[in-house]
Amino acid sequence: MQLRTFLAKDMREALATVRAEMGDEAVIVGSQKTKDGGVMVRAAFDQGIDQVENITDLSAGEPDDGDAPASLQSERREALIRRLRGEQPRNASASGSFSRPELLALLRGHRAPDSITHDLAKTAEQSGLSDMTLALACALGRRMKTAPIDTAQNAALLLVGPNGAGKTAVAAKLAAHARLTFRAVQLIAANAAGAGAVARLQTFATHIDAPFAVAENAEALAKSVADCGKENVTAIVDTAGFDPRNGKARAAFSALAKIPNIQTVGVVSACGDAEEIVEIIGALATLGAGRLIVTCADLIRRLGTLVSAATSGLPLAHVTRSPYVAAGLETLTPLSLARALIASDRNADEGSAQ
Amino acid sequence: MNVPLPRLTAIGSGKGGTGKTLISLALAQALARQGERVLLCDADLGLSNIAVHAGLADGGDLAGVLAGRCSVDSAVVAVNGGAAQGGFDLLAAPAGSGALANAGLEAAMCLVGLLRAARAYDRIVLDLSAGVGAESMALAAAADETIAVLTPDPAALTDAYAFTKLLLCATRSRAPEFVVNLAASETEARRTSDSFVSTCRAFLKFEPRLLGIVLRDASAAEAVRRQQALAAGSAASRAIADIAGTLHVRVTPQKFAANDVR
Repeated sequence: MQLRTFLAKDMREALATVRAEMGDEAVIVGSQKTKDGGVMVRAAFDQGIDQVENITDLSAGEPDDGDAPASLQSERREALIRRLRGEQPRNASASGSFSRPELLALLRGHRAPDSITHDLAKTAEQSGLSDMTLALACALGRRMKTAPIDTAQNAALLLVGPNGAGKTAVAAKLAAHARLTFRAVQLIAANAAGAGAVARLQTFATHIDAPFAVAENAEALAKSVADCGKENVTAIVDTAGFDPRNGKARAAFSALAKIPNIQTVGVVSACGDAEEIVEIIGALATLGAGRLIVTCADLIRRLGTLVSAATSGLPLAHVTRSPYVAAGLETLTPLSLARALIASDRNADEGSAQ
Repeated sequence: MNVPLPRLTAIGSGKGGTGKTLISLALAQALARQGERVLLCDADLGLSNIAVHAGLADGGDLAGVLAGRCSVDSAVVAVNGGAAQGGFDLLAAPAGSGALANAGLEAAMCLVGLLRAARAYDRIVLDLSAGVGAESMALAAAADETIAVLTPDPAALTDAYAFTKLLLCATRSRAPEFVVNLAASETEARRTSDSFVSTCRAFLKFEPRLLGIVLRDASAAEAVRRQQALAAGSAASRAIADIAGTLHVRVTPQKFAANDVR
């Protein structure tokens, strides 16, 4: 359980700090005014009972067997390994031991590019870890960079990426996240290709109760971003989709990416080819994207594109696994990706056996 | 006649230094004043120190009981006249010996069985060790009621929460009641209580019950230094007497039922 105490000048600031530092699921368990007129807020977060695994039923008042202490210790060790692997307790069937050929086969099954597959398998083997999940997580950790977006910062976010990547939904998710932390936010449609795209973003803005604007060109966007900066408002800019590998299209967007106080965030869909996504991410990086959001992770069974995106060198900000705005943005860690790769591989095996 | 089993009341906390042992001692005496035959058992199998708190040279022979060398009746030490004369009995391992340091879960469960069979008592107060070790949690789960002692210290709150969560897991349904100790004021105690209840409600979907508040009392600290019992008229003593009153009401109908005549 996390329990933290925050001092702030008022309740609003305190709540924003709690959410920023402990997440949306933290609960305020106490608050009081301080002598200097501010507030002190105490917040807690815990996984609840689900987090505790393998608790022996001791309510009967009798030991189950004579060697209970030793077996309890070994059960706890096993439970820890299972928790790290991400398995549900009591249903672990596979041994989960590391094997380089098995890891290569697993990554190929996910259609990960060969170059990445071999590199990951080699690093996993060099890690010396005997557990498959942990060895893979270690290898991914060597290549992955994660950089979640802090919407409380005073910088505009420019979302760029191919058509259908989900930029508009990501803009709405970011805006909703900012609103939950009591951060003022404005949604801006720039380089809008069609009336439908603008209307969709405007609808999201209405739902989130955030102001909405349209910037017809780079100059108008620069002014809007500057105005937001002065008023301490986070501007989230949605753009029309384009192929970033196309030099002409990229040039058209470079003017937007060069606007002062704007951070470019690449948005790509996980539905696609694992090698092609590497090319797209490379092109977005050339455009000035400093980090990446991968959408539609809920729609794929083979996770090669996620592996490609995570190991592309561009810091991964978030992944999304739902089209719904409230479902938010998730952070992918090496361990969670390793778990997902192994879990979906097992699911596929089970599915094919049935 | 059907003689009821003694009621086991476990007192734990998670964090050390919450005043658990002092409350256990005062509670045993207060329950004895209510007319109950009380045995106070120092269930800290590794570091027994309840006899030190009580200013006794000998706390009994808990190690002998667990080893099968003697019965509970013959291993206890009478405090303030003993259970038969308005005081209570004490069962502990020798202080500073570490005699039961590696007793383990099996010994803890064996202890529960032996105490349950000690029908000379109405109530057995178990002073658990600090922490959430397997032995402490097994004893807490085996008791009829468990009381967590917490203080306004945030670390005490998180540790009491861990204690509560593990107890809920072990028993599937029963969480401890709790006592707020060492609060500087009623307001601070209520704030601590509210924080604890809110945390449990949010993450465990369970609201533990506040059993009582024992405010910081200079005479209690002095009693600890002098290795004496709490002064009878002190604020801490009165507060613990109130808690004893609440607990006593639960055991009374059980006694009447056992001796009932139609």
